[in-house]
Amino acid sequence: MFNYTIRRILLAIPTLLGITFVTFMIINLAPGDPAQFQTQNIMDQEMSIRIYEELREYYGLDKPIHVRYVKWLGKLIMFDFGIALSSDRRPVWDKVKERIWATMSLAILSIGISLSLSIPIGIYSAARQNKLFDTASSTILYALYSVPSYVMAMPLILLIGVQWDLLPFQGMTSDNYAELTLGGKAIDLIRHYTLITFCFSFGSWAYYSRFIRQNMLEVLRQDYVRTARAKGLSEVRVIIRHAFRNTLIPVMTLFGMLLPAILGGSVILEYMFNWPGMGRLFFDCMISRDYHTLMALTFISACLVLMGTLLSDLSYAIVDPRIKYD
Amino acid sequence: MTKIADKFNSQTTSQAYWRCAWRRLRRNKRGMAGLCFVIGMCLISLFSPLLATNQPIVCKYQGKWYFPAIVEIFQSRSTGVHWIKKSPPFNLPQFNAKKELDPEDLAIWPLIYYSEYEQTDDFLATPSAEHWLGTDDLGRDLAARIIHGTTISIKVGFVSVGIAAVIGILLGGLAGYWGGWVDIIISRIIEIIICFPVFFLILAIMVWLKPNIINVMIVIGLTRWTSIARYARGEFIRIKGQDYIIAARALGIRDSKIMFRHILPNALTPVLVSITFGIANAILVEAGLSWLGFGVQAPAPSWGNILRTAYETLRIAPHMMYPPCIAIFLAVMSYNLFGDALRDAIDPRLRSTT
Repeated sequence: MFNYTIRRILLAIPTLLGITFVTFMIINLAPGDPAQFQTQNIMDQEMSIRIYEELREYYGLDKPIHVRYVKWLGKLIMFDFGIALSSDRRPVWDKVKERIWATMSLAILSIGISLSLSIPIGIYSAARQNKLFDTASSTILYALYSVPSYVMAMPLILLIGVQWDLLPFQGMTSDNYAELTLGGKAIDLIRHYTLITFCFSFGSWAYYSRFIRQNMLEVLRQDYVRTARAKGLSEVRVIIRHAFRNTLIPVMTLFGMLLPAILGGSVILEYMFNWPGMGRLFFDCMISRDYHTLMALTFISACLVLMGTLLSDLSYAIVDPRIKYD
Repeated sequence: MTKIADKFNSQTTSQAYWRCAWRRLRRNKRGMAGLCFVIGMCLISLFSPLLATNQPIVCKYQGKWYFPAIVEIFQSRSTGVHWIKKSPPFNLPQFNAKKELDPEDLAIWPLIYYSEYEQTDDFLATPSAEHWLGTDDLGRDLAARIIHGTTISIKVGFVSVGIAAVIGILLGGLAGYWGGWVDIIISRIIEIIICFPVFFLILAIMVWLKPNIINVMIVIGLTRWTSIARYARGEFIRIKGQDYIIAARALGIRDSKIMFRHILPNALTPVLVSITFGIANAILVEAGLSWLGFGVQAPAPSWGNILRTAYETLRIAPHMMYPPCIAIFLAVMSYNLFGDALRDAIDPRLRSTT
């Protein structure tokens, strides 16, 4: 197990190298650069060109691309993401740090919610296959699963946010957040989190419910379930102890794939909800061509994704004693 | 006797397989509903000028007959068909639907007599008999824009997944068939792309390219082939061990011929399922990109563009929100339904794996 973990981490290094290389090339070869973005509003032609040249030299953009990549890698080994190539010139890590929590909290919340909802629903509808609850829930879940998150977000914003005015839908906190009491702050945060968390999670929640139901049905047909029933165990015990445990195995593998989906989907949703998260930062930096922040964001999300897959593979071995990594 | 029976069997197996699959597919009501809707969308996009344009389908003007909307069908497709010349007088006031016609003249109009680009004077109008779904911020008829938006979605769906399928089948097939270091390299590439939040990657490339429909198709195609490749690889590995492939190899048939003539037709079915879901996904990504402003550009009626306008005029024109949402939802849903049914039909074994 330990050896396997080490090997997987070592194998992740070439993958990460590949990811950073591809992104670095794509981002840097794209037309326009941060210096151009920052000088585009200067009216005076000569001044603009002079500042542009100075900025390029200051940012090190005048060096060839492979030199820049190696330099960037060298800094990365020291966990230094460099200075943001925007006019505030803050360290990239500071900029990213304040955004990570906004996105990761959403990801964790939505994984938690989709797990805690989908497992009971999946088990219950499999146990009562083709009964009213099963038919109704699978139809609704199927429809939900086909609704893209941002398509769901729009009517929700319109109805709940604007027309009924129940929940706020812009940003993470209200304007008067600093003046609120502790309880008020908590309520304010919860109110802001509600809509966006729902939009982040309902897709995976619907998908996992269907997936768990499907797997439960498969497992319930197995011989050992019939044996358990024949032994005279109660139905609850058969389903929870004997059947459900075996459906956990395929479910585990899925959660590794959930993180990239959430991170990828975050751009549009965070933009829509004006959420101060990584997806939003990525989009803004994409516009202002802030290479260093973009690279840091890609690197961090790739690391998170690799970690997610590794964790799900390891938990696979914990859940299923038949699987041994060595 | 047995020889004849064998010959008979060998001739009919592949046909019977598809016929069986079709029979099973037809029994699946949800799947057929999905398929009907997909076909319906294709028809809508093909005949969109007959449904919504500002020119009559058939008209009689000064004793002569014209078919402007039908000509439009050929001209609006990028098929290079320009041999049908459109005769001039169709935008004359006589043929403006909002006015009385001369008694001798006659015109049959499409259901929605506005084109997708035509601007009218009522901005952000709510739905009415004149504008079935209302108008947008430039006074364009929303129903016409949604109908013509179908074309963009269909095009992006099919072309981008077509590109993805070619790349995916080729790379997945190579990896599965050759194994060894080819497999290692290709699998690693697949893993790298999977580890990416794909939308980040697509955005990164789209900023680079000029945002238009062709680039959107290419970028989605280039980034979405991984699941197809994985299915193809698995199938190639499974099939290459079978007797008929060993026999083919023993006969000295070229590798490329074995790959494409003997393995590929048998490996196609799981790939087909992946392709169906891929189309749903491509439609989604296109709408998302257009929403962010990096997809199909403004005057073109993409569902994502319409949704973006709806978002910006959220407080003044809430009626604009629902049509594009429902359109995207129905499109994605129908492909998903059909994909699920297809998976169940072609191979009941695959039902549990997703």
